[in-house]
Amino acid sequence: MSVLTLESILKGRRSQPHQLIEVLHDVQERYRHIPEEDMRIVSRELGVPLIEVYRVANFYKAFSLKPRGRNVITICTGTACHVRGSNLLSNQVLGQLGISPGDTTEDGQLTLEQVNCLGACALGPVVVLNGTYYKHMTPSKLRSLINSVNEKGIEDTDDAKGKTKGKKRQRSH
Amino acid sequence: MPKVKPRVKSVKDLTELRKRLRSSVKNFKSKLTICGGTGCHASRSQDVIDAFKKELKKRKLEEGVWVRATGCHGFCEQGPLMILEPGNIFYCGLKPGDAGEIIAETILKGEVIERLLYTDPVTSKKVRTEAEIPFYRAQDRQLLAQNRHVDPCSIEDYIAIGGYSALAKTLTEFSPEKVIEEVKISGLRGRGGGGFPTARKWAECRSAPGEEKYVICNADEGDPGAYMDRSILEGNPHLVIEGMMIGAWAIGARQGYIYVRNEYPLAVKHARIAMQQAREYGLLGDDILGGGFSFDMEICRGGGAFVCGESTALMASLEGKVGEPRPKDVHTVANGLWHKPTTLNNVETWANVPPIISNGAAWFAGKGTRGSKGTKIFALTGRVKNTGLVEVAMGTPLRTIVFDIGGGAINGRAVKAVQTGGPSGGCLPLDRLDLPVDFDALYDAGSMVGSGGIVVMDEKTCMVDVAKYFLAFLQDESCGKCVPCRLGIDRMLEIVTDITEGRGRPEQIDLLKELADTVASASLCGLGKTAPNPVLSTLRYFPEEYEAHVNEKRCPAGVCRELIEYEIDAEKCNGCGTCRRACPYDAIKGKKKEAHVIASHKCQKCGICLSECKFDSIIVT
Amino acid sequence: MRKYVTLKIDGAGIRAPKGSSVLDVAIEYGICIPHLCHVPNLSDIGACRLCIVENIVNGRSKITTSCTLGVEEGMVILSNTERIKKLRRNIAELLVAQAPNSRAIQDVAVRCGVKEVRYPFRNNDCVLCGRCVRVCEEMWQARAIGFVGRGKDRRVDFPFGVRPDFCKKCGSCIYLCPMTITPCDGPMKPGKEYLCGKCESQLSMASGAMEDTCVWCELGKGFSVHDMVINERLLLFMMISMPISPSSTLPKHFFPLTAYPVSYSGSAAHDQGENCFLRPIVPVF
Repeated sequence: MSVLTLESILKGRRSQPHQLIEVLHDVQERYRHIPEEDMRIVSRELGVPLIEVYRVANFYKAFSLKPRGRNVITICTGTACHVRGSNLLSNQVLGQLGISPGDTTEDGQLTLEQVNCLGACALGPVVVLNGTYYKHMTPSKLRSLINSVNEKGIEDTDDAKGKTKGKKRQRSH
Repeated sequence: MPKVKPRVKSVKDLTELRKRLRSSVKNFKSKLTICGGTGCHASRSQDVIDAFKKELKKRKLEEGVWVRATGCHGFCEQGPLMILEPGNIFYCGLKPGDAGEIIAETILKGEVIERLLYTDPVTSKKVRTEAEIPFYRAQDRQLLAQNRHVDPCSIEDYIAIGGYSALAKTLTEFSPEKVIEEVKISGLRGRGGGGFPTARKWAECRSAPGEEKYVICNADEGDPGAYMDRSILEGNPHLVIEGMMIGAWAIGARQGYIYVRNEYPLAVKHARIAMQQAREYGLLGDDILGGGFSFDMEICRGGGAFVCGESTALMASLEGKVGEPRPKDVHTVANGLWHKPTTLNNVETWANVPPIISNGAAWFAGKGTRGSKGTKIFALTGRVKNTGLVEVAMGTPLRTIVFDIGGGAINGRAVKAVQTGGPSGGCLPLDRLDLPVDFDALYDAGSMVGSGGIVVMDEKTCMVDVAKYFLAFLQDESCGKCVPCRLGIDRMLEIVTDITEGRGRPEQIDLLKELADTVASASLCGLGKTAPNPVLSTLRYFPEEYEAHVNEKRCPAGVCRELIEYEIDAEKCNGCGTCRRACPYDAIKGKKKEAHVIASHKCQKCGICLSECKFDSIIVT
Repeated sequence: MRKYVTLKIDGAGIRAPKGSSVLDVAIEYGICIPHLCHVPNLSDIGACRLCIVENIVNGRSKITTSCTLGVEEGMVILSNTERIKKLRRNIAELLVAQAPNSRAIQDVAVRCGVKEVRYPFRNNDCVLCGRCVRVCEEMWQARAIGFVGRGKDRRVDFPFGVRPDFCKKCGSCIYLCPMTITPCDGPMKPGKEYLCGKCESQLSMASGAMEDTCVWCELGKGFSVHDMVINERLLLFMMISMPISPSSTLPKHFFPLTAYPVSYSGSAAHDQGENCFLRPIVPVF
């Protein structure tokens, strides 16, 4: 199964080492992380040494080697968000769920990530839940956001995600 | 909008297409321009647009009203924003529910809805148009102003406002040398940070031996607190593409790349659409506009690494490798991407090229200072009233930007410092704010223009903590290749952490200075060379804060966790219980409507209670 | 025909073939520029920054690494100014604080003039000079190891942390590693946390060199198949005599050293021809 979907990602990119990062982006989007087996296939098909694939996957922040939770909360820690108190938000998650940035809760429900800047500095502190932006966050707003994720579980948030994606598509035409 | 896209084969075709597009727009009775940049998008502007479309359909007004989503207008703080023509009425803070009212009142009856107008914070008066808002009034918007006239997903919009005419002018009237000469006269300097003269870079690349040459657009805007590149690429991608085409013509390149941050999904999408549209019209590909010039481009996504803003690291990343810089003893203009001559410029630099060609070099050189010409976009953020994108002529004093445009600090506090240039720049104190924003003036003051982030800090910001924040950022983002950067920044962070946690010793400050010098002088790439700037500038302008931390074990701003205690002022506390519920560590106890108490042994000093209390009853000692 | 250029290093006029680096030329003419990551015949990456020099261009001094700086006509290089010495000392201090128990690094530090270390010691195995990575990639075309991660998490590792099949256990990486020299446990002992500077490089001792042989002349020795064969015994000696215990300060990322003597004495690995020591692959230049 994994090979089949990888097939479509690799189509037209074989033996083109410079496509490595783009390919890994697509793999990451599909599986939410990059499985080891896929890296071996990518290495073979693109003609990139395995160590180079492993290095690239480790070097760039966008790639995750560990499977991520069903929901991903990203806290922006850019300068603008920092001076407006984004560290409080990390503290909130640490206090509430006991996870630090990069970790996933034990039930696989939530992964906390940090990003250095989302470019939405005017709205800081910014939090992103599964691709949806939340502006001017405070610890209490974040607490209720996490609670709503935990209550609704995966289904609703997935719906919401599908909805925003659909909208974006609509807008592009 | 024409259904079958005709290929534009010559300059004449382009002029005719523009005429046709302009005449088709006139049919609309009124025009709604709603900001769809990332900022307003995060404020749910898409929902507002959908609501308008639905409402217009319901009232069968689709034919007469043109709803358009554009790129960033700059004033993200007040989003979602809308400009309504005729009348240029400026509405802000929109909600999807407002759509019906706006259509009924403003579009049909021509009456202004007071509630949705912007309120001037100084005079408390309602303001009708964009031009009257102080945030916009003091600016000189050359590049950003175009954003509101263009739907980023429509090449027709761009052509209608005169897009690709600079390219047509270049291909028909200018020789490559003439283009470089024109850019040289304009005095354009790289907007990405270094401020290297663009024309010199182009000329060196042109004269470098080799048939195959490349142009690259650096949209890997890693500086936290800066987002002007995102807003240009996202709001007006064709401007960047046109700039790159003119550059490619000048240096003799046939292939271009745009390297975009993966964190900017909207910019990636818009740039891709723009490229596709340009190809459909024949504006990218072989024999562009019949001028015998062939050029195509590709978009590459970055992987989230600050160091990839460094030219050699970016090129390594484009080649699909790990983004590690290499020694630049031979410059990238001669030995760049795939060891071919390469010109790399920042988004804003490329975007400045078409206006320079269209309006003439003298127009651009007429703005700015002796050493820095033209306008520059800054991202004004932090603890300031009006945050957003600000475009001013070079040489404008920082004070004008922070106070006249930005409106000063929030909550009536005093501005303490201004950080410019991101992690490579420095912090300037209040008494240095009369400095003009100019590459050389800021560099001499220990900071830099950088890519143009301006972060305002007030008295609640601890400068040692700011230095620690940037060091932690750089330690995380350093590629780790060379010793001074990897170990030097690590040790600097170790020392500054000691200071913020009350273990600092006076001699450590001298060690910090020595280490900063080593890192700055001996590092391999630009990241390491500029990394000590935040520490050096805070040490230079705020030595008393370091001394308070080291000698008195006290954090004057009340930020550094290990040096402060939280207490509840029993007189001010009315027992609302907000803090008790908010505390994730269960450290606050108290009965309803009675003063609460913090149990110091449980308190982790996370500061959440302080941010939640609405009665200022939490005190930091 | 080779083209020559003339340049000045520390005031000495030198005629050097075009295309060589300033460091190579300096070494050839007996001007000692300290270096760590540079290995002849391997590419230069300018990572350790010990070989920094001042390059005087139009009267302005530019600090750059000499290993990556190609010689040019009329160049003026200063390799031993006060400023350079100070920077070099600080870099060596950073290095030795990271790996205080490596005698090679101690030697480097002492020779760069480090008298005291002002940072807390860290008991690290690797200074990420990249000698092993480059020999694996460039000499043997194996690419079995590489730098993984970034910033302070950067390390030398196998893909997925497992030794791949294409690693032939040739041992070149260990041969070139400045850490595999008999470690000194002095600096990490409680109460003895300083560098005595007394012991000379174990490397120079091991190869029977004079006591005052400069460590760089040894560390910088060319790497060739010929060398490998000559030094094979030394290497074997080092591996066997090395204490293999949890306190061993050998880089943990290398495969267990016990594998070596076993594969030498006719083990399965040897029979399968996995060991390239005895049948050297001809390097590609």
